[in-house]
Amino acid sequence: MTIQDDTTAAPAPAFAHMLYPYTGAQAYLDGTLAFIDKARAAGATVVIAAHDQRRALLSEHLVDDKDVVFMDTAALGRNPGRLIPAWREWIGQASAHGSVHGVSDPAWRWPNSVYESEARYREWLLNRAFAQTPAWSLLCPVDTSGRDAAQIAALARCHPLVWNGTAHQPSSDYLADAYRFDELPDPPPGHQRLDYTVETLRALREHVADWARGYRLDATRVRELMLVVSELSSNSVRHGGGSGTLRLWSEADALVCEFRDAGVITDPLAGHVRPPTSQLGGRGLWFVNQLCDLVQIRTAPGRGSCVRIWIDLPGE
Amino acid sequence: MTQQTTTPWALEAGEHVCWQARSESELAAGEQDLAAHAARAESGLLIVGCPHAVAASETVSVLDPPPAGSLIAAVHERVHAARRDGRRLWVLAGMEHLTPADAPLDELVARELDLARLAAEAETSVVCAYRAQAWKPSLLGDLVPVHSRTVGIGVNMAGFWLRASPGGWALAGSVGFESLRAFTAALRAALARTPELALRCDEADVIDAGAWRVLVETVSEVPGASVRLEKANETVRAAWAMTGYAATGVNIQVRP
Repeated sequence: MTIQDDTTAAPAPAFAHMLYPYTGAQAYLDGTLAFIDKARAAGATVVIAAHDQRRALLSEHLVDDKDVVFMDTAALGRNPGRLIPAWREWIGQASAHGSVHGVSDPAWRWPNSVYESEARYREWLLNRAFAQTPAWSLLCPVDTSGRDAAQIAALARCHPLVWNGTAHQPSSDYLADAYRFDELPDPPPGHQRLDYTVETLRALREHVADWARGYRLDATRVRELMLVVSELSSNSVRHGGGSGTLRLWSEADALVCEFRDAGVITDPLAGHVRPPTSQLGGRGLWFVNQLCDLVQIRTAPGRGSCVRIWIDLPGE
Repeated sequence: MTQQTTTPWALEAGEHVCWQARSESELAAGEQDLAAHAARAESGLLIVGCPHAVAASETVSVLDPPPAGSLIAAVHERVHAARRDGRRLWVLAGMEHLTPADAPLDELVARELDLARLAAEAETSVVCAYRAQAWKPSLLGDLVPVHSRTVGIGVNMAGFWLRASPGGWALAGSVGFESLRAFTAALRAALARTPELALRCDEADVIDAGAWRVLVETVSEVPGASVRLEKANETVRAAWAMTGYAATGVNIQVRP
């Protein structure tokens, strides 16, 4: 990772989104508390979205302050696609009192590299989502122990700024223009493949429901999956050339459904922001992000769209 | 949800059946079967606008020609008169002879809801016969969901069902993109009859984002209208919450 000299760098963006790479609990505390102190000294509200261990650690060292607020991250589930709407809501609640600074540390570890890859993309997407939102910053602490240099470098590409424990500086590693997605691996041999059109949407929903019941998904989760299938397959019919292809398979702890069609999703924030109440429509991908445990979208002109959704299987 | 039984004419009280026949001869044969089943069930049969393969008899009555503009009233009167006499009277309606095949979907659905309500309130059975060749397949597909089940071709076509019950209306199945035209027509017709519409949803699985939009738009079109979804499952309630439409003040309630 390269840290630019602050005096020669371009001005920081309105939304100050910074990575804080640290090693060890003491460094975590020192750097995060310094960020919080600085924010409070400027009269800002601090919103902290941290998992239980970090919340406990920070609470021990923070004086009682009504303007330092901890958010419940458990309700988010493990879909990193819910981070952006969550921060929108949290900022909305806190910004009535002036500027807001956030600490984002919601997951101890993502379940696997697939989740971690998508979490990185959502970190990058935060810069787009909040580009026009003034007066807030977000610190993303990342423990470097147990992570290799490539993982840290990948995270640095998603954050325009780096926090060094006392101040932030621009990062030359940041990908300002376009995100480089990880390629999606091919489905395993033996996966199911179903082509669909408007005539077969109902049968498609019911097929997927029957398939999911075979993996002991409970009735509510099966219905939620049916709703997701309804949204994504109808998107193909409406916007993806009138038809699509669904591929189904199971991973060790999840069911995966992949929808491919000829359409292109032009708005990278689709599904990450609920349309305003004045806008009727446009809620399909929003539903999908709220209901699935992971959503992977790859879309490009000439290549069409691929949406893979993951539904966690119940534990034994 | 929909089932093709080996004896399709074993009708239950309150049933409103969509029968799609392949041909005139299938229609005539079905009419005879239905009359035979009615006799076995000790029920009368009122035939309205059908080719009359069955002659009028002690148990079969024929409304021919159906009175223009007052079909439902005339059928209603006969069914309730039979009921007052302690008799059951099934109804077979030949839709081809009662409604122009090029009538708008809204008009056809409205007529079907009236027949559904008649079946539910009079605790009788109404069979709506459609000769498939006389109707557009897409139109027939849109009419299936406003019946309680289907006989003949078109079985298992519907994603959702809007059924009449003695206490009101019930929504069953799943409402997705393929059903939006039928769902819109069904809602409009139901709201025209019952502006404060209560829908039992204990057999409804999912309502997708497009269907919620249709619901909001349709309720907003009718001054003073409201819709209450009752006994909605967790998924239906969560989907409604996810839409955020409640914040617009639209008169829709979704309850467990």
